[in-house]
Amino acid sequence: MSTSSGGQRSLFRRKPVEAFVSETRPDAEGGELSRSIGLFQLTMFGVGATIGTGIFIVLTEAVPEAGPGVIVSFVLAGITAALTAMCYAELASTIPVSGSSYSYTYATMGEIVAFGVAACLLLEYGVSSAAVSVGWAQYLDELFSSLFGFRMPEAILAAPGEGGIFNFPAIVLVTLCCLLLMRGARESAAANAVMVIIKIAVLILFVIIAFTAFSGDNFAPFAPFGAAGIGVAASSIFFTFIGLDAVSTAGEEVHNPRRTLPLAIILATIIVTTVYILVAIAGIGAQQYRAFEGQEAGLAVILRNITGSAWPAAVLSAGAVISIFSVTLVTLYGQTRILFAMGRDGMLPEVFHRLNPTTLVPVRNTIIVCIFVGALAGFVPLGVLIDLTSMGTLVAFTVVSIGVIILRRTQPDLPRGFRVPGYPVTPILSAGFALYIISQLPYSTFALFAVWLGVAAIIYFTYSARHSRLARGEAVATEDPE
Amino acid sequence: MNYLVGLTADRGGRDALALGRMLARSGDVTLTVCIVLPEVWGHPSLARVDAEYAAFLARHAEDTVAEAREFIGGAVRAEYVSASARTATEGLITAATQTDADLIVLGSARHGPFGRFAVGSVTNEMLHTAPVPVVLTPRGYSPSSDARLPRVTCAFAGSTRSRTAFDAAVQLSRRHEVPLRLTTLVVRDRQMYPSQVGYDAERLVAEQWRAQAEEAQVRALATLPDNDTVEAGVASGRNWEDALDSLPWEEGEVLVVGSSRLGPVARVFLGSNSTKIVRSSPVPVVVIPRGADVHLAEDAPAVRSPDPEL
Repeated sequence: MSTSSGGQRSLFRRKPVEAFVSETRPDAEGGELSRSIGLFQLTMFGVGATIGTGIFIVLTEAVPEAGPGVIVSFVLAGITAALTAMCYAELASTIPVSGSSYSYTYATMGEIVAFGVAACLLLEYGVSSAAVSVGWAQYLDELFSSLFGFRMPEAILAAPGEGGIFNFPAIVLVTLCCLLLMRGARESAAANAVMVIIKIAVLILFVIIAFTAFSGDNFAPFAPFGAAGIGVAASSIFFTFIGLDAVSTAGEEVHNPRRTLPLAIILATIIVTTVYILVAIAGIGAQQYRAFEGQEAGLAVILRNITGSAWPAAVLSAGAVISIFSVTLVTLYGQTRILFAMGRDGMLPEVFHRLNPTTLVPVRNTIIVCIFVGALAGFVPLGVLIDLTSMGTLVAFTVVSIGVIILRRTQPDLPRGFRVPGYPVTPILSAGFALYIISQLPYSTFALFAVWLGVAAIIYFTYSARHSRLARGEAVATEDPE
Repeated sequence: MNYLVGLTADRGGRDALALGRMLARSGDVTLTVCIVLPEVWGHPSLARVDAEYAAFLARHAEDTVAEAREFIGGAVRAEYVSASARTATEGLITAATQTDADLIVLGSARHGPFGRFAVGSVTNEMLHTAPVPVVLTPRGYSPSSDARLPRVTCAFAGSTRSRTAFDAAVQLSRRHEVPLRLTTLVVRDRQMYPSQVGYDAERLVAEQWRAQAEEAQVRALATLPDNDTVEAGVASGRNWEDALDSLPWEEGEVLVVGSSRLGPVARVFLGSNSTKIVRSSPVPVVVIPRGADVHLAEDAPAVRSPDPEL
């Protein structure tokens, strides 16, 4: 077995593409998907997966960092997200199965990189579900307040360190999603479309009402903290663009992917960025940037302050409560499936890929994920969660961008369904932007991230490196000629 | 053995009769063809206001039974009874208990597509109350007049609850001395949109399911003695109908499913695999009721190791 012979080489052992194919496509006729997704639908998937992850909560964090210049931060983050989504799309079309960046990395850059990417994805999905559910808790409280004049005590609404004991509603949300996922519930394309409409509708409502109180004076000074502030805000904001990569993972089902994929990515980015910027302009027009600091359920509070009546805030909160719920469901689902794939590869214990025979759901996997996410949501402050999510996502994106370059050099002849336009500028720009935004994150985030990677490394070297199916030679029959 | 056929004067009743006749020909089986009539109130009046109605019911029963008798013919041992009860379900269950029936054959409701079964109100009640397995006949079921039961297929999920169905299928195949086929359905009918992990995630899950199912099949088969003829396999498809249609079916074959998932119909949003199988199956489905008592060991005391995993 050549792959188990030497230290460094085995760390970078790659999973053969054939193994992916045989794992997911045993019989051509069973479970084959038709190329049925068109440009409009795909764009809507991208918009639906992206809007809602953060715009409802991120202004509170980002506006005080950059002032009105946060608009530039949104553009910066949007460009970065679009560039990396392109790189994603090329990798996705090179590996003939659609999967997460964990799978792409495993096939192209080797096991240890893939494990690191998986650790980042745990931040992108797991930690972002926690962040989003904390935002949900704020809007739920705001909804109760608008409807019934009742506020939950701070003790059960905030993490320790933010004046509370634990965040009870966030834990409830994660538990509800956990129960749904355990029963095998899915969000269908139709449900997704409804959620997109709800999200965009409440954001438009916000923009229209907030513009009635628009004051140009609020935009001066435009960048009170200069370029640095804008960069810092972009690093927080980046988290709201998670989900654009969802577009690239649909490659195989897309009609005419070479044209549709990049168009859908660009269109979705433009739509999402436009909506975000409108929301930001409307919000800043309505109140001084300093007023954003510490505002919970920010958008709803702004509406209430402008109109003096409770119903617009109630409508917006209700929309946020519904749509954030669906986002949490989708990201939790994504997390369980990534761990499932890792379990299949032997990188994680078998418990992560055992299915319950009656529901066909990896139930224990789901429970573990939800306990982890629930604990984060209940006990960690929102700002920390947002920054960690951005960190994980950006690192994963950087690896993907570099992966495109590596793969073009090492395996130039692989058939690619989609090629990044403007190679090599696009992936280099993409990695450059991502690294720049990463560099703007606070030091505490770097420290936490280092700890997290350390934990991942311990798990990898104590368990995964030895149990990996590649290490045991189970999945590499295709690689060995003898 | 005694099989009870629920007779109605419509197409569903005729389908059930055809299935009953085929099953009876395939083994040592006596059919009890039972028509359930509404109970007459016995109005306490000298005027006997309901006499005409009672007479109509009796004549209706006679006509229907005569037709059934003609349809069944003389080659099969059959008894014909009519029972009066407040509901069809109650009548059928009383008749099944009195005649010590081993199986109840029912026809489809009218609203389903031709060739598939539609659960009507009576079937639905039966599936929650019947003390013995219930066989559901697809609409328009008409095996050729000399068809016999060629094989029993068991829809096997490898779960604890699926064990009841497996035991019942083994019992049925032994009773009729036909081979058994164990099949696990790998269906990928639900997809998360948008999926942030790629749309192959469910395919990976389906593959894991196939592997687990194959392990469970091996374990289940290991509990059977060697002289049972059993084949095992996996059928996959985009939906239940596809998966079931992809299996080769012999004429007269039946499919055995457990009923653990046939929960209250009101819980529609959770879905239910057995309900979907019942709706999609091109062949008659034998539903082993929840809590059905299968005494496999009494049938053939054989090598059986208790396996908690199954």
